[in-house]
Amino acid sequence: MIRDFNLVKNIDQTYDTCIVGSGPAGITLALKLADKGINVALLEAGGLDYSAESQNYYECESVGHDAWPEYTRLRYFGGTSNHWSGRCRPFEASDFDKRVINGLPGWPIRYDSIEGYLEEAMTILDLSVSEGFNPINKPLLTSNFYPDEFAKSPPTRFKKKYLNVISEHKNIDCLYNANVVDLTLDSAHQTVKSITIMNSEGYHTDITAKDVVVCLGGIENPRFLLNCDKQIVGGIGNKNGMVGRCFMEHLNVPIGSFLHKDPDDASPMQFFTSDNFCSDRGIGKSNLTMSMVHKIKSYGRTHAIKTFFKNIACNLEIEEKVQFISDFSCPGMGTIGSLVEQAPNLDSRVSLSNAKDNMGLRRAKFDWQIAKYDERTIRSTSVEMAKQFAQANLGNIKLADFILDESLPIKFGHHAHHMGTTRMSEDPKDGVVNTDCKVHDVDNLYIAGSSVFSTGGACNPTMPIVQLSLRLADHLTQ
Amino acid sequence: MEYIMPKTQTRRTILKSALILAATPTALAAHGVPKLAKQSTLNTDIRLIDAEYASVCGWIIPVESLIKGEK
Repeated sequence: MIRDFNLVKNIDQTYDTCIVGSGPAGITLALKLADKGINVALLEAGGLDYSAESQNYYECESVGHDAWPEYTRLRYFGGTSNHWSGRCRPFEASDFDKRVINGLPGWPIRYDSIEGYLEEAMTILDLSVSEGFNPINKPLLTSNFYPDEFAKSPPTRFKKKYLNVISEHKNIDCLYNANVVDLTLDSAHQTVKSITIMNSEGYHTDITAKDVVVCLGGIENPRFLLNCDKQIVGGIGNKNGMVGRCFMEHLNVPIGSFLHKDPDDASPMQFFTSDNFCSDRGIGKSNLTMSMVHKIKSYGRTHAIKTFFKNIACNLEIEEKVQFISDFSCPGMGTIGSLVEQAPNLDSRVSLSNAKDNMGLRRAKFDWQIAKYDERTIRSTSVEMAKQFAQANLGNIKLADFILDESLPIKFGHHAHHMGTTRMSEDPKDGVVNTDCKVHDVDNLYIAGSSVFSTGGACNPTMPIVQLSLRLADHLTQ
Repeated sequence: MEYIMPKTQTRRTILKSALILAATPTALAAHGVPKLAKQSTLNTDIRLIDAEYASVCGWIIPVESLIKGEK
């Protein structure tokens, strides 16, 4: 069943599980639980389609490096799956090795605890299990880099694929335009007693559930917990001040360009750093993509942005001028894209701004910071790649000035991967959720999504988000 | 970091740098250097990355090819 909370106001139900957020994590969880006979409330704050009014709730104060938090996620049914690019690569076993970076422990679970959900996650994301994850190039470099292995989802739009399934599911009550604005705990502050939902007109009511799972994304998950402060100063789950800490992105660094020895060979190449290389250097992982200028293709958001500007240029009848100005193609020149692991650090965080949204919730204050460890990852990997490229006689790489000159600040962008802000930890002082994704100090409150990542590796997060959601569903039905 | 020129240079490194500087223009020509590098040969920025590689205006090139003009 699916209902508009702006129209249905007489809700008085108790559910087995209340899921807050209908992105890939929330929908995956809802369907798996419902298929097992669990009575699920699935709450979506936005509508069934994009609206500027709903998206406005994502406006936030940005005080660190900018990662465009207002534009890189979508606030309506299906969430950010409505514009993701579809690139999938699972975590590696080594991502779960026991290690301490910037004084913070890595994952408290091992890879085998999510590996068993890989095939199910691939099916959800419309990937061929039999084809698996494959490289697009041969192993051209030394053992420090191996060809990246990935798969491309169509990409799966969770709204398009699952809206009807959810509408018709007898065990799911999906409410959209239902903003969850508060949680009420029992007197001991150990159990969520009720969930307060509000529509855009200010009407609000409470529902109850045995378990509550918050699946709002890497920025909204901590923002919501921090806003639930009527009973506990500093918000729910924040006894150790860890909610919102350790915001991580995948760093998009323009490390340089390359000249291929054979300008006619325009085949793109993708490389991934080896475990030995990263552990020897004491750095994070990286994925480097090398494409010839005239062969660069764009997908998802990048494609949408390019199309947007192209349309403006056409409407203004200046398309030719824009093309002339922006035509940087040099025969034989190639560009190097990068997706670099950012290590967790306490200074990179989501907290609360003093500004409030129309529901009365304080907006997010977004402070993205990178650390020395990340700078070392970027510089060390870039230089090694340039050396290996020359050694393999593939051509030459020209590194950006900030790679070789440590006095210059590193230029970097983002990949719209928001991770780590309610990180998983064994010890409550190091994170927000335990190994079952349960908030450390609340018995029936769980978090799903990339905010629970203890470290982010150098793989796209959707696949592990889905794997961890399937794992959580199993835990909740044990 | 391994690719930063040491503050205290040994006699051997100074000699090597001088050799590279002297050999660079002909070596670059022989190596088929791209336009971008050619434009800045008057103010060539050369750094030793390590014993085997150097940066010439950001281009990472084997020291051997700089000296001999071939790889």
